[in-house]
Parts: sequence; C-alpha cells; structure tokens
Amino acid sequence: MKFDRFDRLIIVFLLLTIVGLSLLLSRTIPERTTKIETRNMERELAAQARQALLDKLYSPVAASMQAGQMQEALLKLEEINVRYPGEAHGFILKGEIFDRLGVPDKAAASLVQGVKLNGDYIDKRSSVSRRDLITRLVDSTLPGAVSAYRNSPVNAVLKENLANLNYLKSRLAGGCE
Amino acid sequence: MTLSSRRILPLLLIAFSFFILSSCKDQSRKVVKIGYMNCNNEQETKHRFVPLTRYLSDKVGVEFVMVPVDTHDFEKRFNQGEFAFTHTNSLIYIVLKERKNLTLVASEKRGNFGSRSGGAIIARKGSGIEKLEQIKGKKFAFGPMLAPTGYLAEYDLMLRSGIDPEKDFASYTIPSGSFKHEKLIYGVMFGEYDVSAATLMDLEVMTKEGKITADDFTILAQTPLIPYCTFGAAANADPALVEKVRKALLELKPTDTADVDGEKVKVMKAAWIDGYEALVDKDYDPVREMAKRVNMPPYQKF
Amino acid sequence: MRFDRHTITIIVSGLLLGFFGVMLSVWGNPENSGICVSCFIENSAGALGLHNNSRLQYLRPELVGFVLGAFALALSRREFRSRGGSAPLLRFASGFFLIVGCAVFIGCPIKLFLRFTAGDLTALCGVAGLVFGVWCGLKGLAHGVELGRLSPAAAPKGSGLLSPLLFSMLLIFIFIPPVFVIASDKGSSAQHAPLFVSLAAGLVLGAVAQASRFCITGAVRDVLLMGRRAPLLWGGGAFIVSAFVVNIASGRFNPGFAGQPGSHQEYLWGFLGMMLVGWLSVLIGGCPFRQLVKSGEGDTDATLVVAGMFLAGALVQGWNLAATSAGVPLGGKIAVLAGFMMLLAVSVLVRDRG
Repeated sequence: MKFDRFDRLIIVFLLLTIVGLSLLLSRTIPERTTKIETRNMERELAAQARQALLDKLYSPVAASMQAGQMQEALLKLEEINVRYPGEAHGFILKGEIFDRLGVPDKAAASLVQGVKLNGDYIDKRSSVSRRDLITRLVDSTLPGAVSAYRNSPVNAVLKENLANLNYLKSRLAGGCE
Repeated sequence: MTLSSRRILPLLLIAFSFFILSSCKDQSRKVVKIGYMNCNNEQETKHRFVPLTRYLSDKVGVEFVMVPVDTHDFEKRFNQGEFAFTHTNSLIYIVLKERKNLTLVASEKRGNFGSRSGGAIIARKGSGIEKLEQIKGKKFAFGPMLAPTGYLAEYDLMLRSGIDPEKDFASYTIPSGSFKHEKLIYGVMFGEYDVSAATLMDLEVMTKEGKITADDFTILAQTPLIPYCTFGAAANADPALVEKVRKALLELKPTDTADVDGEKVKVMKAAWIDGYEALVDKDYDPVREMAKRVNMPPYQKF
Repeated sequence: MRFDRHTITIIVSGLLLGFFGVMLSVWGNPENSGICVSCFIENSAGALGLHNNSRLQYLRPELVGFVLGAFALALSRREFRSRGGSAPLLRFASGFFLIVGCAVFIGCPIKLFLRFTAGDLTALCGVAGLVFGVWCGLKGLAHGVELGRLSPAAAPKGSGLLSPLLFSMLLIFIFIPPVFVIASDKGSSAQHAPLFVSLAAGLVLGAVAQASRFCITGAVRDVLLMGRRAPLLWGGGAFIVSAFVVNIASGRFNPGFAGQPGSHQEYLWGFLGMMLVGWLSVLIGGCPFRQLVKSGEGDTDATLVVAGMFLAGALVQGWNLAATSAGVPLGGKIAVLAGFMMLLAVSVLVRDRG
C-alpha cells in the first residue's frame, strides 16, 4: 500500500490526536482517582446511612427481640410495616421472629420476601447478612418439608413451603442472580 | 319482508321455553346449608361469609345457603340436622368431631401465623405487672368460654404455670355482648381489668388498624399456636361433595370474586382471610390436650 | 478413527473450555458460572453504567480476553479479515434476543453444560430446548431461511478492527477504571477470579476458539447434520467430560433438581429460552461465545450481534426480564415470545424461495 500526501497528513493528525488524548488522560488521572475515592466514599456513606436509619427505625423491634418478647416485637413490626410495607429489613426481622417462635414455614416465607427484595441479606460479607440463620433454617427444615410434600403433593401450603426453602437453598448455593 | 303469524308463534314458544328453563336453573340445584359460627354478631358473619358461600355455590355447582349460628347453639342446631357443613373455631370442631364424627374439610388461614393462631395474657404497660406470676390477686378478664385462643389456651397456660384462675384472682369475668375480644383489650387499656386474655389475631389486627400500639401493653405470656377457624362436614355428607368443597376452598385466590347484590365482591377480602390449608385431624391434638387439661367439652368431667 | 490436526484442536478447545469453565468458579467466579457469556455481558453492561442493578456490575476480563485472544491469533495466522454486511439490523436484534433467551434460562449455552455437569438437572430442559432450537434453525436453513453470506467486499476495510479496538478500550478500563465504570461490592458480581487469571483464561480460550471454530450450538448443529462424523462432536464431548471431571474433582458435583445455584424450576420457560438461543444461533452462525470470537476475527456482522447482546445485557436487568432462582418474570416470558415472533416473521419474510 502506498501512502500519498493526504494519507500522511491524516496519519500525522491521528498521531497528534493520540498524543493529545494521552496528555489529557495523564492530567486527569489524579482527578479521576479523587473522583473514584469520592464515589466510593459516597457509596459507603449511603450504605452506612441506610444501616443507621434501619437500626433507628427498627430499634423498638430489636429491643423486644433482645428481651425475648417475640410477640411484642411482632406487633411493633406490624406498626412499622404500616408505614414501610415493602422494606426488606422488615421481612427479615419477621423471619427471625417466626424462627424464634418456632414457626419455620412462616420464617422461610418472610425470609424469601426479604432476600428477593435485597440480596445483601444472604451475602457472606454483607454487614446485614442473615446467611447463618437462613442456612440453619434450610438445613433443619428442608428434609421434613420434602417428605411432608411427598406425603401430600396436592397440599398447596406444603408445596409453597418447599418452594420457599428451595429458593433459599438456591440463593445460598450462589451462582448468578 | 314480513313474517306470518304461523312463523312467529313457534319462535315465541321456543323463546318462552328458554326463559322458563333459565329461571328454573337455580331452583333445580341441590340446596345445602352451611352453619357459620358468629364471631362477634350475626350481621358481621353475614357480611363476611355471604360472598364465600356464593363462591362455593359457583365452584361446586350446589346452592349453598349460609346460616349464622350463635356459638352456644351450634352443637344443638347441628345435631338437629339444620346444616351439613360447619364453619367453627377449632374447639367446636373437636367437640363435633368427637361426638358426631364431623369430617375435617379445610382450615382457615389468617394473620401472621396462617392456619394457626394463639393467645396472650396482657397487662397495661406501666401498670407494674411485668411477669406472669404477678397476676395473682388481680382483676382478670377472659374471652368467650368456647374461644380457643381467647379462653381455652390462656386458661391452660395459667394452669401449666401454677396459676389457678378459679382461686388466684381477685375476680375474673367474661365481657357480655358482641365484640368480646376487642372489649378485653380495651378493658385492659382503660383500666377496667388489670390483666386479660387476648387473641394474637386481635392484637395484630388492632395494631395494624392503629387502634392500639404495641407500647400500650406488656405481653406477659404467649400460648402455643393451635389451629383456628375450620370448615367441617357432617359424617353423612356426600363424600364427593365434601371433596369438591375442599378443593374449592384450597383453590381460593385473592382475586376470586362473587356476585353479591349485583356487586362483584372479593371473597377473601370480605371474609378477612388469607386462604385455606389442608390440615389433618392430628394437627388439632394440641387443642384436645388443652381441653382435657382445662376440663372443657368434649372431655369435660363433672 | 484417526484424528486430524483440526479435530485435535477442537478437542483441546473443548477440554480447556471445560477446565476453565469450572476452575474460574473455583478461583472466585460465581458457582456454575466460571464462564457464562450472557452473565458476563450483563455484568459488563452494568459496570459501564447501562443498568443500575448494584449487585451485577463488573467489567469481566474474560469477555475482553475472548475477543482480544481471538484477534491476536487471527492476526498471527493471517486470518483477520474485515467482512460483513449481511442483514445488520436483524443480526443486532438477534443478538438482543440471544441474551433474552439466556437470561430467561439463566446462562448461555456454555453455562448450560457447566450447570448440567455440576449436577444441576434442571439444565436438562435447557439442553432439550437448545437441541430443538438448533433443529428448528436447520429446518429453516434447509428451506432457504438465511440472513445472507458474509462478504469482504461489503465491509469497509479496517471496519473489522472496531471490535478489537472497543474491547482494547475495555481492557484499559479494567486496569485504569474511569469514574463512570462501576464495580459491585456485593452480590454475584463481587465474586470474581483474580483479574490476571480471568484475563489469561479469556485470552487462551478466545485464541483456541478462533483456531478451532469451536462453538456449543455449532457442535449441536454439526451432530444433527453429520452425526458421529462431526469433528465438533469430539469438541463438545471433550468439553462435557472435562467439565464433569473437574466438577467432581473440585467437589462441585451436587446432583438434583431443587436448590441448585442460579437456577429455577420453570422448565417450560427454561426450554423455550434455550430453544430461542439455539434457533437464533443457527440463523446468525454461532452461540454468544462464537459471536465474540468472530467479532475479534474482523466479522463486523458478529460485532453487531455483540452490540445487540450488550443492549440486551442492560435491558434484561433494567426492564426486569431476567429470571432468578424465584422464577421467570412476566416480562421475561413476553420477551421470549417476542423473540420467537421475530424469528417466525424472519422465517417467512427473509426466506429465499428461489
């Protein structure tokens, strides 16, 4: 391929553009680093603010749970749920309460709702993780749920409970979401 | 084009026959009655369960008629054969099961615990009563005597905790009239009673409705969860019909509607329920054990 | 049977794909997703800010590796040629629906077999769907349904460089991320193998796939056409055996239908999703992985498919079309049917009846 004058001119401009771009990029690196750090800090701030808000909002529930007053905690949760009916944290707390009240099928149903809304609750590294609770619940109740469903496959409630536990098991197993 | 009278007459006759046949359709359906136990009053029972009864008629192909029945008359009227299907609390169910071999059809789901519910013993917050043992010598109120989670379960809980309701209270009472369960909760809230039995369902519903707050009360103890409202069928009811009713109840969805006075009404919403579940009779054993310990029907010994 | 050099290359490709497909999970990628082109594209689209699911944003180095590995080998073998120009918009739309089908099944054809070899028996519906889809595509081809042949004359010189250049830019973004590139700190996108391992695996797989033309749907297609004589059959077999052995050796084989990682039990929709992928892949000449490799070889038509795949990667998340362990959302089902509508319309309108 032969390059004429026009080609050479274009190649020169192309090289100049590349040099200009490189200069521009090199000058923006410190600015970029600052911006990324700022963004990361904002993300951390948002996460912590959310955590702080949830802690504050649900503190009466947590206090009742800590005192072992599960029914009282459930009623306090009902009050909060009137204002924030779609909040994942409410479903997760409800699941915990049901678990402690010995109602595993209801616990699984609530935890499923919570995890569907916010997968952070099943992550290993998340600060709000309830992975241990969910693992224990699935391990302890899934075999019974399978045999109960096999004994009565037309029972819609048993079917739903099994589907809930399988969903949690699948989420615990990982994979793409 | 003109039609002669010889052509019009047969057409009119056919149309008239269709009209007569269509109006006979409902009358030709078999009529089956369902007895619904009144929770609070007859009007409320009708309001809640007419749509469900209509839904069952549509689904099963039988003309169901609802019969509101007072709790204390239920067994007598059932024995008289006034209705073939029953909708009662779990205590009345086991009474009829033991005495008349009632068939379990389906168990109602409502509230946090689904087909099960429980009771609690509550005191007003700030009253100084913080623990169950402190209720001795206080004014106590129970729900209706045949209420599993407003009377039976709490009575049993107290007996198992070493408290004899017959001896250990300054007084105990059962409010009269309608809405007895709500009266208990308001009674404690406004200081008429020191302590009372309360169904978890009522506490949950009243909290959701904003009538009370969780901070108004101290929950001193909670009973185990037991099955609650239950559909049953007389032992001599057609098994195929019982199966159809069970299927219709288990298939009930929040979107199902029924025509009531020309209006489409959502069945589950009207009846305040979340659906039905197929429990087995063994699931009612905790109620039986409670009834035995509390010396209540059907195991009452004099 | 004697294996010629090309067949051996195909077998090596299959073995490496199976090996890295499982090992990348062992090294940090999500379970059963060591290699999943559709998941990687969804992740990368999120990383570029094209959707806002904060749990699915990570510029997957494997994806860059596939294209640049294929590009490097194609250059060295003097096989890089700018070519294209056949039905660009239809290819773009096909790329879009490829990812829709994958998102409804949860995984591309490679992940389909990775799931299956890890004991996820729900993948069987996907296998059936993929094979049936490929069969439908072949029936279409036999009746004259094709998008036209590639032509070097139809593509402007150098236009095939666009894809390698764009992916080179993404490579720079991986090492020097601009402010707008996002990386999840939670969820499945926070799970990844070490950067250099992912990139190296991608480069190796891209290169061997370029040399062998290995492709999952291609293997199914050739087996349906040629039976046991198909060289890709050996590649497919090697891939499955290799993935199966590594899954067992790494303790990742858990057979069952319920509770499998990243899978649901809506079998009909799993079947239909993969059927759509199989059918489209025959029409456009390869599965999502093959499209990436071809775009690295200078195929501008494949580059358009990849562009459609990226758009879908963003929209399946943004419009909630992607299935999860909870099942397939209504939008996903509608999108799959829309994909079939497009395929059927194309089969009628584009058919060469000569």
